[in-house]
Amino acid sequence: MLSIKSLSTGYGGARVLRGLDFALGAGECAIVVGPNGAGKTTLLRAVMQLVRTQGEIVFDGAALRGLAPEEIARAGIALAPQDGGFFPQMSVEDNLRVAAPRAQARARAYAFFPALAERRSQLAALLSGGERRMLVIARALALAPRLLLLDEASAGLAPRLAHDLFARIADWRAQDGFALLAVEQGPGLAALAGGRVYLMANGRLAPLAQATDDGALARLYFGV
Amino acid sequence: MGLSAELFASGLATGAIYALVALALALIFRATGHINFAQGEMATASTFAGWWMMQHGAPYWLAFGATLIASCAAGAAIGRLVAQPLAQASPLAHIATFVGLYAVINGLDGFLFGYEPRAFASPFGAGPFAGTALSRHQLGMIGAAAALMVGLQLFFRFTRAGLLLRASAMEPQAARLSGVRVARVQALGWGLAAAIGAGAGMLIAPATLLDPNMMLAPLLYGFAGAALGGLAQPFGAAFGGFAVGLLDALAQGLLPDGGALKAPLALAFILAALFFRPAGLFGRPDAARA
Repeated sequence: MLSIKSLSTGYGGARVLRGLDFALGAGECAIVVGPNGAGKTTLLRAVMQLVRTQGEIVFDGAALRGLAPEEIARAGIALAPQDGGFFPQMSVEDNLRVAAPRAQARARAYAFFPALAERRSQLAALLSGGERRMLVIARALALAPRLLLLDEASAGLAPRLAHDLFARIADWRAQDGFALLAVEQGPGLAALAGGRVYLMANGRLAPLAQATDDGALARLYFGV
Repeated sequence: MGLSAELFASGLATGAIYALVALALALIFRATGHINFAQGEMATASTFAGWWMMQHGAPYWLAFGATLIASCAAGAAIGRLVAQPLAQASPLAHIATFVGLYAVINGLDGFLFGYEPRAFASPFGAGPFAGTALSRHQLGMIGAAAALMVGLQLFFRFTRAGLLLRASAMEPQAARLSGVRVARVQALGWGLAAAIGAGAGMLIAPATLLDPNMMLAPLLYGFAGAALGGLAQPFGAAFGGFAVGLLDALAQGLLPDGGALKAPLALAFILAALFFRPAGLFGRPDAARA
């Protein structure tokens, strides 16, 4: 489904990704962990072509390099970014209407995130941090993607809320079967998502043996 | 009919001119987040195109329709070719570009058609309307402005195109991630604004006479009205246009040497609106969670 070969990108003169290789099959799940600044978010932005890239990114046989982000979204990849990704001065309902003209798709989003249903006429700017995160994910999933890119969905959320969020995404995946590529600071939620775990270091990905490979993480985060 | 009724009628008619300009300004602001200082000149160029067609034998309504369609296409092209490349540029670059566009179009109009004021036909006919202080043309302008005022508000509130225009102006990247073709949507916004401007120009020209600078004052007062009512709200912008027209008439009729006070009054409204209500009378400040 998604095949990345020799992907390099950066900002200005600083290279962030250095010849990264990665592959994800239809319906599969992968979690990328790593410290701040490792390039996790940049990987997702590179897939959406929000940054200039070198190398090869292929989705369902079609090269993504040079495509506009909206065309990639229409091709079946949805990004739920950590920051932004919603329309603050619009109601929750209008936020979802942008992605999903059909009422049926919006009703489904509300079914998975009942908290949003209660706030459907409220301005998105007035939602709590957790509700905004739900809205961004619901907006992405309302596109009915075949691949969801999830950027640090748990960042800043209470552990229970983050756990609940991943559980709802897992429920949605169980129904729709979309593939998931999520980046997280730590692998704690990876087990819940049920996917392979990769470590982002030096602009490349390396597989971790298990979702809770504490030894590798301790070496990464604490140098021990 | 008493003095106050005459002033009211005159102010309402003048306000309709400002309201039409304010609507075009509000539309482009709602669609792109920018103020198009060349809006008036684009409208003037469209009006000259309509005038040229009528000079070559086209009936009024044929010229009107063709002008609106051509202006819509030209506006969309300007949006794609001039405004789109500036998407990431600073506000100063936007202002410089739109002021430059203003100068270019104004100069071209003068070069092609000269600066001699020309009479322009009214689609509503001449003479007073049913014994009122309003002429048939003034009543037509007021009706057109009021209809557009309501129509645009409904367009942004209830149509998908209106929703996507708002989304694209508010958060272009989020819109792209939602699969919205932002460049096309914003070109549509430019096209619609240009078409409304063209219609406004063809309705204003019979009242002001047609010349390359005919939209200078309406643009200033229209901007004052839009700032007063709320640039982001077509209804508010048009309401502001009517309000400035009425106050303008009152100033002219009741104050000594009122004509000299028209421009300072309009500018005072811009300043007052921005000082007391930055989002305008009908606008709302951006909401934020405390």
